[in-house]
Amino acid sequence: MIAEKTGLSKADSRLVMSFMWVTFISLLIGGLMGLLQTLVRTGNFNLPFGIGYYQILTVHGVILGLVLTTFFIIGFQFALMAKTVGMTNKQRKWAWASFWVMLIGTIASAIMILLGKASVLYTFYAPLKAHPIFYFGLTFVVVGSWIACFVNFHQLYQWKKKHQGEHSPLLAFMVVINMLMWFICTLGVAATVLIQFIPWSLGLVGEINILVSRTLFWYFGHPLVYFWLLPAYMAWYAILPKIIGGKIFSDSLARLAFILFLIFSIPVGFHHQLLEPGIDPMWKYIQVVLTFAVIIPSLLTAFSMFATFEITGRQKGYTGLFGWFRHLPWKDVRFFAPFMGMVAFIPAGAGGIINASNQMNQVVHNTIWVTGHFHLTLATTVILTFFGITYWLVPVLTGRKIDKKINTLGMTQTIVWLVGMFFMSGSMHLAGLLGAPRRSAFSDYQGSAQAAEWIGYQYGQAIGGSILFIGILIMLYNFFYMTFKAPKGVEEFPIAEAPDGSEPTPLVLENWKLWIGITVVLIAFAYTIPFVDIIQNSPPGSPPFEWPIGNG
Amino acid sequence: MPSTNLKHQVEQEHSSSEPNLKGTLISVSVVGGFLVLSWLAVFGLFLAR
Ligand code: HEM
Ligand SMILES: [Cu+2]
Repeated sequence: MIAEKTGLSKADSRLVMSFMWVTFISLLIGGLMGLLQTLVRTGNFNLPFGIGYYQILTVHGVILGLVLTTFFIIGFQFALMAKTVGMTNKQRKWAWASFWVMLIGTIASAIMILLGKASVLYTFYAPLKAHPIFYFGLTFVVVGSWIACFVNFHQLYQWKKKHQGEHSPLLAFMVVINMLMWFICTLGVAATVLIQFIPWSLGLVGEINILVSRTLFWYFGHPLVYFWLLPAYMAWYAILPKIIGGKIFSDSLARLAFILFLIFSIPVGFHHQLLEPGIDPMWKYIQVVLTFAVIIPSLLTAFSMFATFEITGRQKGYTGLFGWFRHLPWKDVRFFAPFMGMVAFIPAGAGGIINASNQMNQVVHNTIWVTGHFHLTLATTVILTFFGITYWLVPVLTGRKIDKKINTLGMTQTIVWLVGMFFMSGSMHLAGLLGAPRRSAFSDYQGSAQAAEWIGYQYGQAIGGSILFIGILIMLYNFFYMTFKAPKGVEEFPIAEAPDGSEPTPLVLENWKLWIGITVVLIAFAYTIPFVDIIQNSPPGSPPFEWPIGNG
Repeated sequence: MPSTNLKHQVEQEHSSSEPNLKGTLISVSVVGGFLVLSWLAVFGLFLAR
């Protein structure tokens, strides 16, 4: 009965909950490392037992940036697909296969990192060399995620066969866009790991072409951030309107925004390599222009959100220029947490445009400003939206209800997170503008006057980090409570509808061949010439370095 | 309540109603302005260094 009402069978629920468990265990481990990092960086705390700073930083980056995100996203997307287009038993078996392959890979890599054999940070830049098992583990994670891609593609394909001529459900469309982008971009990271890193770390080849490896990494690395962001956008576009009692602003606009993200997220990796010698500045320029194209769907999204809020408010009878603002369900954590995520995206987006601007990149490159930036985008916007999703998704999966207690705790958690992040990310931004480096333990740089300017901000980060860690503990309690303790009942799986009498969505938006074609052409345009140039004119490759960090 | 009146008028003119989105226009303009200002601030820093 529960299954009928919520639309998720017991079997689907068990699958998705497994992904949620990995997510929240990762949050605890990764968060603890984050706290330790901020403490080390004050200069008043040393890691015990000979643990290295880069070891914990690798744990933090890999487990939060790669593991937590991927598991939450794939689990959430399975829930969305099961709900909107259904999941057959066979598909569910493959979905479990993706879970186990990813988990085995994660555990293998994690063991290597914890043994200090892979302190190469989550970007694993050559020539740092980790133990080969670390790279094999990463390969498993990616292959597991590919299985999930194909399950999702197959789910939509089957639905379309049964519903000839109909539009795919909006959320299913969005999931498939995200997984398409993920599949296309992970080809790059798979290529560098399989062709370059694994043979080199096994000692089969002596040298690695560093610039090629970094270029392939960032071909993957920028779409990676959109892989994190798009599931948050799914919730904003297609779930939040339901929670606030309204309708989707425009189905077509939402689909168009997602298509633009698919097209413009990949041919832009050079914006992470602006200070890398060996890439023709002309092609850096072209990719920066393409990067700025992503501002279009981002602003479409901002417009769409405000419009949803305003229209819903006016329909409820709130008038005046901003009267509609008051109707929003400020006391409902399912709204409040993602909404605060949206607010954080305003400074986060502003920072992103700054980072991508060639000249200003020189001001902030490799400073802790960058870390401050993605703790706003990823660790606030995306994470608060994921938490907001969790408050209804986990009860739906466990057959329980959100009660008053969990709502209050959730509101508290959101506020604690915002306060903590204000201090931590704010200090990071300011210290970065003063030149403080990212990815570095404490040092006074032999009494340098410039380094002395940073110390106040290092304390600011530690204060923010401690508050954030309290936020993590509250969130974990919330997760346990919703899993085991909350009152039994039926919680709704909120999915918003398109407004009555809206124009039908143009069919061209679902012309997959067209959009994939444009994506591939644009990638070929942005990468072929510079990539050939990089390969032909590279300096000699580098032998591996296992020391001072890496595999020491 | 001028804005609701306006909405009514518009509703009568078209068969489907055009929603009043003035608040949205102002909100997105503020966001856009913030993006430009923060960009200019750091660009100033770049020029100053
Ligand atoms: C308790 C909460 C958190 C604290 C205190 C914290 C703290 C930090 C600090 C201090 C750094 C930079 C250290 C350095 O560059 O030397 C860092 C890096 C990072 N954090 Fe967090 N963080 C937290 C939560 C998160 C979350 C929730 C995510 C993602 C979901 C995240 C993702 C990352 C990533 C990807 C890096 C980059 C690692 C690298 O540069 O190799 N953090 N964090
Ligand atoms: Cu990027």
